[in-house]
Amino acid sequence: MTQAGGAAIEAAALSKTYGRGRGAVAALANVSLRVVPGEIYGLLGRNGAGKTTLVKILLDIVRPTRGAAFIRGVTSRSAAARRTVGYLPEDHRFPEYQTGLDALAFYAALSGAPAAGDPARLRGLLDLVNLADAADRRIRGYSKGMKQRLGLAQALVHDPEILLLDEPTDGVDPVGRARIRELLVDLRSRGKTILLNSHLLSEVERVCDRVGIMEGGALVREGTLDALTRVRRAYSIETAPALDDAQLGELAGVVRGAARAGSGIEVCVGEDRGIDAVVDHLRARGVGIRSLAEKKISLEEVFLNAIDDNERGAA
Amino acid sequence: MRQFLAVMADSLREARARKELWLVLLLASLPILLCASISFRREPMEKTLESLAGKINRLPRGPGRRGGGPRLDLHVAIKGIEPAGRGEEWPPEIRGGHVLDLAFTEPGQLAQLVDRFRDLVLGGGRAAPPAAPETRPPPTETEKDDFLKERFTTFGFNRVCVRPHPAGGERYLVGVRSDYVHEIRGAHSFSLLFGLFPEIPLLNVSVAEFTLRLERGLFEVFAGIVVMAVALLATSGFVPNLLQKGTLDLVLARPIGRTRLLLYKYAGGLWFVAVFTTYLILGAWLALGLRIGYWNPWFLLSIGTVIATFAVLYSVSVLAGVVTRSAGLAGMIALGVWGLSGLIVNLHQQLRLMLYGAELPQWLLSTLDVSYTVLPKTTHLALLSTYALSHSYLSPGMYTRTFGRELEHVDWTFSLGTTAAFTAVMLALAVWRFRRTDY
Ligand SMILES: Nc1ncnc2c1ncn2[C@@H]1O[C@H](COP(=O)(O)OP(=O)(O)O)[C@@H](O)[C@H]1O
Ligand SMILES: [Mg+2]
Repeated sequence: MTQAGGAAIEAAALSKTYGRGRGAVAALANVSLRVVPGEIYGLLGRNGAGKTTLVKILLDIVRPTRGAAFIRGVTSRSAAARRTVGYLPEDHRFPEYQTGLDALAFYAALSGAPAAGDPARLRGLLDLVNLADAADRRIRGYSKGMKQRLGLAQALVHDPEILLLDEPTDGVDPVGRARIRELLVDLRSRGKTILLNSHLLSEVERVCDRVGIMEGGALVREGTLDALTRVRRAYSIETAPALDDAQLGELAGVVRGAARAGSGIEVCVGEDRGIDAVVDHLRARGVGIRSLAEKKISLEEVFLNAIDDNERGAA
Repeated sequence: MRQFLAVMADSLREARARKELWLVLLLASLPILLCASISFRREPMEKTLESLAGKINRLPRGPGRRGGGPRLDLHVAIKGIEPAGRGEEWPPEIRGGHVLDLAFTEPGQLAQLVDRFRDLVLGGGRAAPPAAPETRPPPTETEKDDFLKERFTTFGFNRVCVRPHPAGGERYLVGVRSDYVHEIRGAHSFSLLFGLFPEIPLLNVSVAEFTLRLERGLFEVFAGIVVMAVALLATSGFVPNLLQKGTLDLVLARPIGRTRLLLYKYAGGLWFVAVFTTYLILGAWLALGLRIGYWNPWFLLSIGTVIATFAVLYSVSVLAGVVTRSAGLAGMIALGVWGLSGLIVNLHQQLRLMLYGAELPQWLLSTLDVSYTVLPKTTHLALLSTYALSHSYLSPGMYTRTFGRELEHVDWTFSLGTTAAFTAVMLALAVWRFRRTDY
């Protein structure tokens, strides 16, 4: 079964309930999602929101209760779909008897890519994640950060087109995080598609092209960072001179809402062209406009709002 | 193929990382070294024959009988031992052998021995009690000749020719020769530690029998029990370790189907055991061969039977591993099935006989029969090795002479068929469970 449309990753109405009867846990509820080639898609959500479940369904590690998933148009139920996918599981655990190099060679061979097992290439990869010195040491002696970096290396070992990274910066120090971010941006520039799971907003904010917010097993918000953080029909205006209270009150009569914010004001208008009326109103009273911008909120606010809305909806 | 080789190599690496394994390997090497230090020395034939003549009264146990009753005192004199071919006219097959001049010094002694022999060996299987001695006809001359011939054949001479001595009386000339020097009892003495150990004569045992018993012991105790237990315990973690949270994800994310993955892992266990077993058995074989100069390729068959037995038990371990995800449980369950099947298979016949008269509910007997049918017959696989060993070391018929009984008869089609079916079902269940689980 294949699906047209050119999406690198596609989830079509996925639902997943773990277990049966009274112990059943609904982890995903009707989640649809498309990731196009060449983008970094960030999946945000609290612990238990269903992010890992979604990724595992994409890899056929978990079977959906309903719905289907496709990798480059190939159903995720087929092993062939995983040929071009690299995966960094959260809480991964390498067999301790392997050395870093052993592990990479093993996963390279399992991925079936003929050139992947070349030792020089593998050492190069270990160098990329700063593990060159530890290549021949048993993983037993690796620190958490080292294991995480090795995890990243094994995900890249067969030079996959698509990367699924589940909490890639978990347990990594700030310097390591910055390096991982650089690596992700570099991979994007080489045309790779990346789906990134995280509960760390700043990580997602800095590298992702598009963001999906999951809550309670559902995808509650989705869009480009820009679109998500923009607040529709709300504007920040810097005026000269600053408005006094009387002027502000007068303005409030024209728009939905007006309030002082920092050195300027924020207004909320009722219709898309409403901002024109605000400008006219201010100019007519001789107030100079120094800057006017659509109001932005932080991703964190977007995230918290989304959760709030969801809870209110559920109540 | 690349994936298969990777799993094989990884399995070896995983097994190698276990320290207990190296300890066992070290301990297992000791008997091999001991075997390698064995040396044999041929005794002079005169000495051998002299000692054998003194054992004519040690009659073998008959089929179905234990022990030979009180042993008759032996009154025999050796008048001479000479190389055959000179003086006397012996048939060509005896030439190059020896002639023993044997006189029974007490009248009626030989007749008594023959009578006892008839009783023990020839009539042993008879249901009716033997008739009282006085009512039985005395042994004929032919029977006496045959008796002596039989005795010396059992001693390991495959060519024996008995003639009454011209001097008359109960005196015989026994011409003996053997094509299998290693089968002649008491013809050698052996020493351990490259001759450092004082020489011990193999009094009533031939080199072949000695080696056979040694190799059987090595196989049964060593390969059959020690190696098997170690192998089961060393591999019991293979599947549970693979299924550990966080480890399995790394593997399942690769383009490999779950059926393949599990079967490859199963093959990985077999591969490890094949290497381990080959080292031990080939080592013992080389050691014995080099020292004794007697190469028995059939001994190597036991590598195959050990691997086959392991393949059966490991399928249990794999299923238990998939279900419980615990190495300890998987190992214990496999060992348990091994013990239980050994017990039921060995005792099935006896139990049926024992329970025959008792007023037992039918379901109990049915359960016994069903368990026998369903459980794998690992003991029969081991018997296959014993079979090959026995028939290769000893010339035809010699096994029965030496051990006083035939090897157990087994319905191989049934036995191997049900064992293979058991293994297939275990693996199929394991694969089925593995495929339908979310990890
Ligand atoms: N194997 C499983 N069996 C039962 N419940 C599970 C299993 N895996 C996850 N869950 C449950 O599903 C929900 C979603 O979990 P998960 O996908 O791991 O969320 P996230 O990755 O966003 O933290 C949680 O409530 C979790 O407890
Ligand atoms: Mg998660």
